[in-house]
Amino acid sequence: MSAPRRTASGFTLLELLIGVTVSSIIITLAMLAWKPMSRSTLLLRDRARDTTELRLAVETMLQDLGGADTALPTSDPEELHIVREQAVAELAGAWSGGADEGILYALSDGRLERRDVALGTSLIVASGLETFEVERVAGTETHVTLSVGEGLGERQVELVWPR
Amino acid sequence: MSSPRRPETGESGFTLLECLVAVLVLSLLATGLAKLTVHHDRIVADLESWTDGDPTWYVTQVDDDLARLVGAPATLTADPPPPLSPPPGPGAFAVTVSEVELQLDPPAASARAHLQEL
Repeated sequence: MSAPRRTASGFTLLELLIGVTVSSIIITLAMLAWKPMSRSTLLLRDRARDTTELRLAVETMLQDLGGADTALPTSDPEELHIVREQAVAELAGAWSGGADEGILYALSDGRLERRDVALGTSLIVASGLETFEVERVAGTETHVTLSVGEGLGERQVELVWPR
Repeated sequence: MSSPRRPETGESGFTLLECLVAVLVLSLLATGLAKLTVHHDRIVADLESWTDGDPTWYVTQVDDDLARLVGAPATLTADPPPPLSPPPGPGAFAVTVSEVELQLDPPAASARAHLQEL
């Protein structure tokens, strides 16, 4: 009497091993492609945040410089002192004693603070700034340099107040 | 009714249809991944070029006194503004020289003139 014949079905061990190897290669390739993409996505996110902060700082300063009479560095090269025109200061209620005490921009711990000395108000206009440098050039121009980010993600803008 | 079965030829392995479907699916995946990578690289390159450089901007106030008074912000220009016109000098004068005196030793010269503002 012969033994019942067993019909083998399914994959052999070799087929399974090949399948697993091919799948692993595909997954590895996908991850290799994904890694730089996720890194640059993070870089872009940081840049977007930094650019927004830089833009906020510049826009706020432009608002004050729009009615400014002078914009000069103080004894601290990281401070900008903006004095308003008389009419602008009077309208803002900042004209007292025949002068405007002005607005001070100063960098502290990466945060750019706008302090209205005349009105006694203070506001953080941007954060994450690396540098905020003010320099008087040739006695005729005030250069304000702002930068955000580090290394490859660094972004710098220079504003020139030509008065 | 019986389901379709492979012809029992005694051979094992994938049919041509199975191979084609597998190749098609893999091709679709690879194409999608490649397109995604290329698109992403292009976006990154665009952004890099956009944020490259350290621009210098010149701050310019608006000319309108009233607009400045009510808080019009300054604007930025890439080009330096034109130089300010020199301050107005004193008015013009009519000069009438009435007397000139010259001396050789020691050399000297003097004149008497009359200025009249125009």
